[in-house]
Amino acid sequence: MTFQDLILQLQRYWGQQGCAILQPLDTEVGAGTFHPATFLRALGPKPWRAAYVQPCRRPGDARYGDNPNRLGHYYQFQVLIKPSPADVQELYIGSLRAIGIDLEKHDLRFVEDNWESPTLGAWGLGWEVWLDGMEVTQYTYFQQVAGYELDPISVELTYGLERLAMYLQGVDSVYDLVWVQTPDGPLHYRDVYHRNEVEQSRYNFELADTEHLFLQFQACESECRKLAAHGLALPAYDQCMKASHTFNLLQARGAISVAERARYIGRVRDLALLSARTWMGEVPPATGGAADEGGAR
Amino acid sequence: MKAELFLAVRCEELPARFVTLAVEQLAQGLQGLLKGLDHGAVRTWATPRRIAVAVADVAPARPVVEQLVLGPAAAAAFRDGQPTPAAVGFARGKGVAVEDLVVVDGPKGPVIAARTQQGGERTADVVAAGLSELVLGLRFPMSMRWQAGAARWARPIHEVIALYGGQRIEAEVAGIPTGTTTVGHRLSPAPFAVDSAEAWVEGLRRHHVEPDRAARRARIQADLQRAAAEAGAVVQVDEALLDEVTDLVEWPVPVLCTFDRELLDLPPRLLVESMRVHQRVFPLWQQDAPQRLDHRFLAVSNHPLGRQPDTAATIAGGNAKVIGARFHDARFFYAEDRRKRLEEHDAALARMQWIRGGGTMQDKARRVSRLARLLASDLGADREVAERAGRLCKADLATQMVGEFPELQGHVGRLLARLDGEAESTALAIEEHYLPRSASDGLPTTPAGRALALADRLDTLAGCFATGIRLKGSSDPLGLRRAAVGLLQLVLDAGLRRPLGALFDEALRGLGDEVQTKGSAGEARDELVEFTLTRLRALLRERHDTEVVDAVLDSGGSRDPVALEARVRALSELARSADFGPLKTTFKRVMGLTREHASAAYEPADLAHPAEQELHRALEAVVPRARKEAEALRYDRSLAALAELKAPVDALFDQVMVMAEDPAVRATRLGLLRAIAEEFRRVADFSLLSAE
Repeated sequence: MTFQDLILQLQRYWGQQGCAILQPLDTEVGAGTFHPATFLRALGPKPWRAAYVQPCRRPGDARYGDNPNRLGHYYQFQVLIKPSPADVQELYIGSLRAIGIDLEKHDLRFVEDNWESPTLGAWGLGWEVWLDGMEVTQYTYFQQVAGYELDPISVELTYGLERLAMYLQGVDSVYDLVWVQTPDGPLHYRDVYHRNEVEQSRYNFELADTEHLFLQFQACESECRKLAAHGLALPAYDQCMKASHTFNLLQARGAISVAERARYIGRVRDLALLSARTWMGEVPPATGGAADEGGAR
Repeated sequence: MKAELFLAVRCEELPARFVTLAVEQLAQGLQGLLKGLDHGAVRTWATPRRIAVAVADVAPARPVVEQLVLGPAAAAAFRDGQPTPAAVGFARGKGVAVEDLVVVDGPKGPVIAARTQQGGERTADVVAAGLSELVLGLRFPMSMRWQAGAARWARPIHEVIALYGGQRIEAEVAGIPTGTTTVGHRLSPAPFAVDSAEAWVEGLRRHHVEPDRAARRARIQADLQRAAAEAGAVVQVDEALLDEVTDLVEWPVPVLCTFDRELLDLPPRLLVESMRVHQRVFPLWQQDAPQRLDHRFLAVSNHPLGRQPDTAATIAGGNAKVIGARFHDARFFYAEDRRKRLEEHDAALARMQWIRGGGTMQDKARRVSRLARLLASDLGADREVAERAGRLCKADLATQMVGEFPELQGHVGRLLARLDGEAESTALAIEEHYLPRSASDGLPTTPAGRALALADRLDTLAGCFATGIRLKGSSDPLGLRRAAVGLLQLVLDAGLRRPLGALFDEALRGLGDEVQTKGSAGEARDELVEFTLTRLRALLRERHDTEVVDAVLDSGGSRDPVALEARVRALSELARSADFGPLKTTFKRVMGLTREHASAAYEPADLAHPAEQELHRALEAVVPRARKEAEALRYDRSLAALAELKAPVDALFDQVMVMAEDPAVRATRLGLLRAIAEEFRRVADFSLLSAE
C-alpha cells in the first residue's frame, strides 16, 4: 500500500462513517489536535464528525534528514467524533481492516496512555494502540478542552501515518516509503520531503532569528487579544497557533530556558483559552475603540 | 433455596494498574450489599476487559426479624378509648394500623408499641436496587465520562451481567440494561449465553480469554520459562513487569523476537530498561553466561494464533522493529556522546539553566564539587576524588543518551568517565550521587558517592531557599522535601556530627554571584534548618513515639541530626522501662517548677538545708559523667547517670518547701533545680511528656 493509498483508504473509510473529510489547516501546527475542527469543535453540545490529514511541524524533532524515524515535518491522520459512539473501538478496528491490517495475523493491544496538553488546557484518557508492539494510534476520550468540562465527550483518533506506512511497506527508513507508483517507477518519501527536512533543520537549529521570533511571539499575542476583543474567535485562534509555533521554534533554537518554558506555555494557553471562550460567545465583543486599546496593552 | 450470585462487567481496556483494584472493590462492594444475607465463598476474575465476582450459596432473602418499637405513653395515645393524633402519627410512621398497636410496659410506665417486621428483602431485589451504585461507585485513580452520559468510570462500560440462580437480575448501569450474553477475545466475536459463573468462565476459555488472573499470570511465567529454554536462553522474570503484562492481555502467548547482535555493545542497563519500561517485554540472558544479555527477547502477545509460525513471525517482526529503531537511535547517540570527553560535555552545561535565578548546571556542579571536597574527610572520602567527581557529576545531562533516556542519568556519566580513564571511584561517585532517589531507595555505597550526594542535596536546598523559593501546600515540583529527607538519611547513616545550621551555612557560602539571592543568608539558613527539622521529626515519628520525638526536638539546643536521633533512641528505650513512670513524675516537676526561673546560678555556700547540700553534691558528681557519655552519643548512659538524681530530688521535695517565703532562699533552691533541669534538657524536655 503506497503512502497516498493509506491516506485515501482512511479518508474513504471514515467518510463512510459519516465524517466530514476536511483538508489540512493552512497554518503551522504541532499536532492535528490544534486544528479548529478538533480544538474548537470539541466544545459545546453540537454533534460533530470530521476526519482530515494534518501536516505537523515539530522543529525540535528535525534531524537534517539523517534519522530514519524522526522528522521535523510529518503527517497525522486525525478523526474527531462527538459524542463518542458506543462502538468507536469497533469502528477503529474497522479502519485498520480497511488499510489491510488483518487481525488474524497481527497482535493488537490497548495500552493505557493519558493525554494532556498544557498548551491547550486539555486532557483526556485513552490508550496508545499497539500493533505488534508498535504504537500506531493515539486514542483519546477528551474530558476537558480549553478548561471546559466537555459534555458530550469527543473521541479523538490520531494515526501516525509515516510510521504506519513504514510498517505496512516493511521499510526501515521513512525516506524509503513509496509515495505513489508512477509510470517512471516509484516516487519515494525522500523525493518529496528529504530536502525539506535538511533545509528546515538548518533553519530551525541554526538560522532562525530568535530576536525576530521573540517579537513575533509578542505580536501574535497582542493580535490574538485584540481579535478576541472584537469577538472574532477564528482569527484570534489563528494568532494563538502562530504564537505556539513561534514558541516551538524558539525552543528548538535553545533560546528558552527550562524555567522560562513553563511561562511561555502559560502564555500560549491563555491565548487558547481566550480563543475558546470567544468561540463559545463568552467574551462579549467590545466596541471599536476600547477593543483596540485593549489589544494594544 | 440457596443459589449462586454472579456479577460481571465488560468494558474497554482498563489501564493495567486498575485491573486488580477494580475487581477487589467490586467484590468488597458486593459483599457489603449482601449484608445480612447468608452466603458461601466469594470468587473473582479479572482481565483488562472484564471483571467478575461470584458468590456461592446466597440465601434467597434476608431473614425476617420482628421488632417491637416503643412509642408515646399509653396515657397520651388513647383518650376515651379513641386514638389521639399522637397514636395515629406513630402508627403511620411505623407502617402499622392503629388497631394493631399494643400497650406494653416502658421504662417510665405503659407506652404504646408497634410490632414491625424487618428484613425479608429478596436477594435479587437487593442486587437490582444496589447494582448501579455498586458498579459506578468503584474508585479509580483517574476516571472519565464517555458518549453523552454522566457516568464516570475508568473506561467505557459495555455490558453488565447480573444473575441470581441463573436468572437475570433486572437492572441498569450507566444506561445499559443487564444482559445474559457476553463475548470473548476480539478474534472470537460470536456472543454466547451465560447462566452461571461456570458457563461464563468456560465460555470465555473457549473464546480465548483466560479470566482467572492468577492462572493467567502463572501461565505467562511458565510459558516464558519454557520459551526461554527452547531458545537456549535464560529469562529473569521481573515481578512488576509480569503483573503489568498479566493485565495487558486476555490470552497470553509469548513470542520470541530478536534484535541485531551488534546492538549488544550498548550499555546493558540501557537495553534492559528500554525493553522493560518502554516495550513491556522480557530480556533474555545467555545460557552459558547468565550475566550477559542475549540479542533476543520475549514479547507477550494477546494473540490466540501467536504460536502459528506466520503470525508469530509478523508479531516478532513488529516488536523487533520498534526495539531495533530505539536501540539504533541509542547507539547513534552513544557513539556521538563518546566522541567527547565528559569535560567537554560539561561545557554545554554553561547554557543549561538550573532553576530561574540559580545559575547554570555548570555553576551547580562547581558548587557541589566544592562542598563535596569540604565534606570528604568527615565521610572518609578522598578529597581529590570527591572534588573531581563533583565537577563531572552533571556533565551527562548534556549527552544525547540522557536526553533520550532520562532514567539513565548518572549511569551514562559513569560509563563515559570510565572511558575517559577517570578513577573507578570517581566514576562510581558520579552514578551514585543521585541516590537515594526516594525515601525507600538505597544509599550510595562509596564514601565519595556519599559526599557528592550530600553536597548535591545541600546545594539544591540552599540554592532554592536563597532565591526565595518556598513550598506552599503539597506541591513540590523541585523535590525539596525529597532532597531534605535524602540529606537526613545520608547524614544519619554516615553519623556525620555537624549541626544543620553549620551545613547550610557552608552551602549558602558557596552560592556565587550567579545566584540571585533574596533576603539574608541568615534568614535562609534558619528557614532551611526548620524545614529540615520538620522532615526529621516526620522521619523519627515513623519509628518512635510522637511524644518522645517531640520532647527531644523541642528541648532546644543543638540541631545535629545524629545527636538528635541518638537522644530520641535513648529516651524511647528508657520510656519502655518500668522505672520510667516515677522518674518522669519527679523530673516533670523539676522542669515545671523552674519554667519561669531562667537562672541556673546559685551559691553553694547559700545551701543551708542538708537535703539541698546532698542534692548539690549529687549533681556535681553526676554532671561530668552525664556530659561525657552524651559527648560520645551514649545517651542511654547519660540518662542513667542523671536518673541517679531522682532520690536526692525527691528527698528535697519531701523535706523543704522550694517556694520559700524568703526570696533569697527561694532563688537559691530554684537555681539548684534549674541547673538539674538544664542537664536534662540536653537530652529531652520532660515537661513535654504526658503524665501517667
